[in-house]
Amino acid sequence: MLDLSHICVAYDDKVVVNNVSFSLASGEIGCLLGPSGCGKTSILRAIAGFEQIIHGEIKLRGVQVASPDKHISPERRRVAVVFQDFALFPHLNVGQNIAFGLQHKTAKQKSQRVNELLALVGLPDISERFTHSLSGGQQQRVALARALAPRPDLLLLDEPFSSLDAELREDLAQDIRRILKHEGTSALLVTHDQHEAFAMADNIGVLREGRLLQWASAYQLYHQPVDKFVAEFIGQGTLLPGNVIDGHYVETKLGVFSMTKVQSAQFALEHSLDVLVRPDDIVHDDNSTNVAKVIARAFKGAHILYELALNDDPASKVLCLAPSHHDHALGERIGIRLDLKHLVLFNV
Amino acid sequence: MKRSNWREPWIWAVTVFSLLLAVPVLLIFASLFVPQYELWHHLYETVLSDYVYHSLLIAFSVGALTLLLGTSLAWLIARYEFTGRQTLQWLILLPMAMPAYILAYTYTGMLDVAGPIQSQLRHTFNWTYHDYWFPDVRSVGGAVVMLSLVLYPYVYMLARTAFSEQSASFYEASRSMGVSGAAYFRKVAFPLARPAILTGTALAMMEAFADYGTVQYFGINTFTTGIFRTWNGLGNAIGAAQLAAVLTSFVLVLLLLEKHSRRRLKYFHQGQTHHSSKRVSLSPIKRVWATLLCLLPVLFGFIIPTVQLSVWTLDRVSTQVDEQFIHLIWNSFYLAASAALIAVGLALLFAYAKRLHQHWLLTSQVQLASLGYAIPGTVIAIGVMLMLSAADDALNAFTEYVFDTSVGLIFSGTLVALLLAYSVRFLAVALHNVEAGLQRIKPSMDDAARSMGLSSFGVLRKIHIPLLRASVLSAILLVFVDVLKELPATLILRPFNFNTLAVRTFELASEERLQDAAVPAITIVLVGLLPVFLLTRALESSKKK
Repeated sequence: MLDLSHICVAYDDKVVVNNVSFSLASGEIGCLLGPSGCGKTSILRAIAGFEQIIHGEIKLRGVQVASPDKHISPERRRVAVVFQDFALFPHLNVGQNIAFGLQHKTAKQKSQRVNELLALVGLPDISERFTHSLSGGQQQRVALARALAPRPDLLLLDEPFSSLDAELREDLAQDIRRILKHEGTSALLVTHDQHEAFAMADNIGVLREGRLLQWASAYQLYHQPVDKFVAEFIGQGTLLPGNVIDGHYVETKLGVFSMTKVQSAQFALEHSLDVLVRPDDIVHDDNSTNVAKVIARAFKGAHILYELALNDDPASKVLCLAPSHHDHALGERIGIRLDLKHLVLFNV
Repeated sequence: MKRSNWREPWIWAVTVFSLLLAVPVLLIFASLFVPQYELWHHLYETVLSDYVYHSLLIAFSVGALTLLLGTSLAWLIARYEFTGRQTLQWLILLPMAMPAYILAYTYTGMLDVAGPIQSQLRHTFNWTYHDYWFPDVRSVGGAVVMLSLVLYPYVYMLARTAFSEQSASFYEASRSMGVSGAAYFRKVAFPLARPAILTGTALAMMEAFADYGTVQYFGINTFTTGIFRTWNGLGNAIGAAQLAAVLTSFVLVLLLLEKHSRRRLKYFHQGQTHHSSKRVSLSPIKRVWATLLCLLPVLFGFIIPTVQLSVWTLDRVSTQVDEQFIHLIWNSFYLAASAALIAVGLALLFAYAKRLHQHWLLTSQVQLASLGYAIPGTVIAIGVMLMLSAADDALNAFTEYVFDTSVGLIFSGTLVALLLAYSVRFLAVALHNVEAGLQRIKPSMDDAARSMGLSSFGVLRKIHIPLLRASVLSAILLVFVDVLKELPATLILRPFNFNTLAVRTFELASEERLQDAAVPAITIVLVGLLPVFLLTRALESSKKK
């Protein structure tokens, strides 16, 4: 459906998107995730046709729409956009807004599609209302309906939840995912919030300084990040120092682990490594002989997130997500054990 | 529970002054209850249809022309990048400095039969007077062009702000839905800017209805010239007031349109701008066209007439600039300065009262008092005259009864009348600026300063005065220049033998001494440039925010 290969975007000689490639299958929902200024919005704008690319090519349904010498204008790409500020036209009512992209349809076709979409987004009776009387969440749904109305090949969503209340976001993200899957629309979302990305996307690309670091599912990004930046950006965790033994094992304060073949090949010549430990890798176990000192704690409702120092050494810290009943005070020593399903290693 | 505010001196002051300012206009409408059958019969038989037809024709034509001109200039400047755009965007405002009547005299001097252009044509082609056709400036069409040339900046300013504040995402959203170019202007940009454009057009039409100098000079019968004639020629004050009431009701329709548009403006403004669109670069040929198109109105509305006035002035400066002229300038300036101080003083009173007591009655009083900007100067002058002569009559009756002597005309026929009329007409200008300044001083700032140990006087001195200074000064300047340019009310209400620059310009032009008129005229134009610069700076800084 969507193929980007080696695209670069620059503003006045400053390269903001550098050699980015990824593909989106038909009906797939992708997400570009990264801190602000990482170039994710520029990629979205290049796909929509609002920015030109200086290198690489963009294909939609196998047809090239952008390259350094070719630029199909946005109105001819069949790509719809939901904007950060929704960009709902204040002089048109909801129905007219949704029908805006249906230029060449009859009045009957228009109203039919408008009603169908309003029903789909769960706002069946607001066609006559003006957008300024709607709540943020309603405006968001109308913006989505408007974008979907012309049955675009691809839907782009630019930080679609940033102007909404935090409580609304995840509900709406789930809802939108359901709607997109119902319409079978391929979509690409841009956000800096990983929870939104997890809630909506099939595959997520993590960007940093204009480069795409990893394109993978949320599970993979969390458990098998390709580098330290992705590991730190996605979820929580700490890096535990480890030593390479015999080229096949890593020894840490929490035990010895065997490397995969690939890891052995990659790290055999190193002496010391960093091992990624996620909070869910550390299991709180009162019977364990391995004890660590509580140096910070954050109550999260069902769980308490403990920051623990191993062997009283504040430099080697791990996080532990313990059930809320296990209420321990600062300075207390608690029993833990490591339950590592994925060994993730990085160079020091 | 809200405590009753009516013991507050603020409230009383506002009530007294707002009534004082509202009475002249109310009297105009009250005049309708004194029937003047004979006059209306006479008017109906003779000139009434001319008044209605010409006033409406001029106002609507000016409305259409300023809408077209202002909107297209604004769209070009806001949307496209071309040679000289930076400079042109404020040059376009210059014609605001030019009162329409001065433009009318200047073009008449240049274009009439004896003027340089026709003389040159005859000389070049060896024609005589009857050999060729030449457009007559002294016509309804001429008046429409003159008025439109100086009034289009109203539409331009509001439309430009509206266009450049439209979020880029509107444009991008439209494009991604297949709407771009002219269709985008028609379906999105124009409808979104429509409240602003209509507001500007309504203001321009109000000014066109109010114009006296141009139509009088061109000999066109309109309501304003009719009011003047009924007052001055027929000596029928009530009749003049009744004509004024009819004119005012036309204007009130526009006022409603303007208020309605401004309310819509607020709704349309809610789409917060994240970033405004990049301006589109034009092809080289189109670029030249855009530059020329933007230059034309400035050329005809300001540059050509100013050059002509300067040439005439240089020619006449030795004979015209004498003691009498210095006296004229002194009269104009101290009158304008006093009026400006009074208007801004009242504006401060009203604005603070509104800030301290947000009571609906107070707000509506202030609103009533500031409606004067929409009412033609001629109308206000008649209203002030009615009010003050009644006051004088009452005072004299009183002194004769009590002291057995009359004191003569204390109010009417003195500067009091002029100052009252200016306050009615220009309070809104002052109020608008002062309120804009006061809005920046949030009530929480007062509280914060008080909590840090400042007395209420200290708050005024350390917070309000520094923050308000700029807007108060610009309010004074704007009213000053408006008063300097004002013609019809000054003409009606000035004390005997009291002349101002505007009146002198009018008198000299009426005597067909156009070149002599250039000296006071160009003085008005040059002073009139000050608020245009001020406006340019304000527009620039609002863009940076």
